[in-house]
Amino acid sequence: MRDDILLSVEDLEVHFKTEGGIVKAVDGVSFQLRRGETLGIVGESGSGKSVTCNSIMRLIPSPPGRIAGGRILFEGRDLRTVKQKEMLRLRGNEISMIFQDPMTSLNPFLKVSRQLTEVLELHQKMSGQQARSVALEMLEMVGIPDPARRFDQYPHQFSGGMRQRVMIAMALLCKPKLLIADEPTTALDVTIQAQILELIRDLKEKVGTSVILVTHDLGVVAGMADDLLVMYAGKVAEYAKALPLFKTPAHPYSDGLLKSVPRLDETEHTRLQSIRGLPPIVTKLPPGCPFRPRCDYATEVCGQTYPARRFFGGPAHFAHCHHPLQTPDEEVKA
Amino acid sequence: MSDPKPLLVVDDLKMHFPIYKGALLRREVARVRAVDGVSFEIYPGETLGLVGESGCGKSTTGRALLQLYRPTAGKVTFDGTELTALKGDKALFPYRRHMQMIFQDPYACLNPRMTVGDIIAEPLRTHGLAADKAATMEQVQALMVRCGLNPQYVRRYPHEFSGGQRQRIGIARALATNPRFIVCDEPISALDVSIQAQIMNLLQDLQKEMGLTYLFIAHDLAAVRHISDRIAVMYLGKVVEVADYASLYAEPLHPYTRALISAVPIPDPEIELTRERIVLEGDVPSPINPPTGCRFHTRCPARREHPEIADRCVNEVPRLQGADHRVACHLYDIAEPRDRAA
Repeated sequence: MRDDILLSVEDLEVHFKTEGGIVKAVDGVSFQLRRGETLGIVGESGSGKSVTCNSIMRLIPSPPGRIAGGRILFEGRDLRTVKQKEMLRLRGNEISMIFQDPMTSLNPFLKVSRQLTEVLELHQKMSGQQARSVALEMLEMVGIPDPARRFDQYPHQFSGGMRQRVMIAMALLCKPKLLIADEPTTALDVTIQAQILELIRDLKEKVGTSVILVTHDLGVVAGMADDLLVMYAGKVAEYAKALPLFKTPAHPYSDGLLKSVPRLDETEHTRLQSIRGLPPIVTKLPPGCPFRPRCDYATEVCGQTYPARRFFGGPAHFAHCHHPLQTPDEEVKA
Repeated sequence: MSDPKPLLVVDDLKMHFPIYKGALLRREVARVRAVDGVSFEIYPGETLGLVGESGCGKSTTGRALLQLYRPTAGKVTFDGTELTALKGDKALFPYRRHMQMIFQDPYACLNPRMTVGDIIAEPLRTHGLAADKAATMEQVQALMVRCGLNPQYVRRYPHEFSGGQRQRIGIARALATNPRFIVCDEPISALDVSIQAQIMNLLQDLQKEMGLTYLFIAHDLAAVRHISDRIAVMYLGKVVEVADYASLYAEPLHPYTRALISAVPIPDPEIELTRERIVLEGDVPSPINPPTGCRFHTRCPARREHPEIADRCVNEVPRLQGADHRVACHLYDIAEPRDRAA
């Protein structure tokens, strides 16, 4: 285990028991996150991106859910096997999470001050007075105007963007080593989204936190992420540094996703290249590659076997595809 | 777009929602000025995009155009008829079939207890557009095919369809009366990325085939730019800028439009890391008690750079001025003092 790697997820499998049988919501997902870097996880609804994050936090409701296999190594320790008590210590302290909807993640009955100081009293064993001053400082740092007055207000008195700032303040109070942001800006307007992304970028620098940013918006990760993980139907479609993923995607799904979004900087009206068909239903996945029914490059082999991992220009870029759009390393050497 | 006669003219449209207090002595204590003096026109066959952040009044404008809300003040003229002058639902009824709407939430806009066939047939029956049952069924199935739905699913219920397919059902329903004008209210924002492109392509194809005119309301600037011929930008109940899609993005004039455009992330890391961002401070003020003068003055970065107009921004409401590219901002009064207004 190299020291600069903070989190290493290996062959993660998360299963849910449903009436229709076992759903493999996450199926063999692997990635690594280095200290101080940002990993973007991109995928459509049902692709398993949120379940992946929730399993790192061990927040999978069980039953019906179960982490069925793989390892989640956080600083070398497998989070799957640490005791519940230890997990409570890690959550909010070394790993924290912010969610899409800040209103449902804040307790509407408690003042913001109480919700913030609780974290510090619990994890950092601070006194009430001490916690108050640290929390107030953090509220100021995330750019809430007039923090002293806002401190003792209730969540409903804050706007959506301000609530998300409170959530971020809460998540960063203990200066966590890892921040998981699950669609943090999806519920917000673009100008507020720009504020929040700027804030995460800024705080990442100041606090030195590593970030996992989950989103369906390719534009959001383009300016934020060092590495990108594209998920489809619970599996990794492609993993790469941001630049090669956007410039030379190897998986037809990544390529299709990039071509199907309208760009603000397009010069004239062109027809969008949409991905045909519908997103997969995870209970009824076809054998072989899950993207096959929607893929323009699919052949017979795609319906028979799940494609093995193939690398492109080194270990930092891989995709699971029988017909990748780039030449895989083994063919370059051959 | 070059057709000189607009299909729809909106003149100083206002839509206020009163807030009442008191059970016995019910009195109006305030009003939400959701739309507060909006003017624009839409030409036959074009798509006018309407963008703005939540609460800016874009959806209310769309509904007030269709007279789903009766406007507080102002005129809406459709093909020469002043809709706002018509009294009562009966007088409006003959115009309804020409003006339809597609909604944002494909889960909420379809009655879960009706079959897809009945949902699409309802407008046909209401407006008496099909001779008998067989003719209705034939038309329904033709609409389903046109919108990319399998006509064999006509007896299924909405819950059996995915979000994208439901949006297709909503589009088929809107097309049933063979309308001339459709308000698309955030039709793609609830859909997955790969499905958004399918629906936008469908809307564009239908426009070409049937000569439709759209008002496309969305908060996603990239989508609006992609589909629109001209774009109107709204902020807090007012239109701040109107221009054709290319010049709005190439040379945005209003400081709000500039900030909005710079806030939209572009899916390209090379551009994202180098581009200049204008990050606005604060939130959108409340439409119950909007700022005086220019409504954007509380957040406007340009006002700070131009102290010579700072007072006017607070006291004087800027007028929407210009010919093809219209903007409501005091900055441009200075550049060309009087001749723009003349």
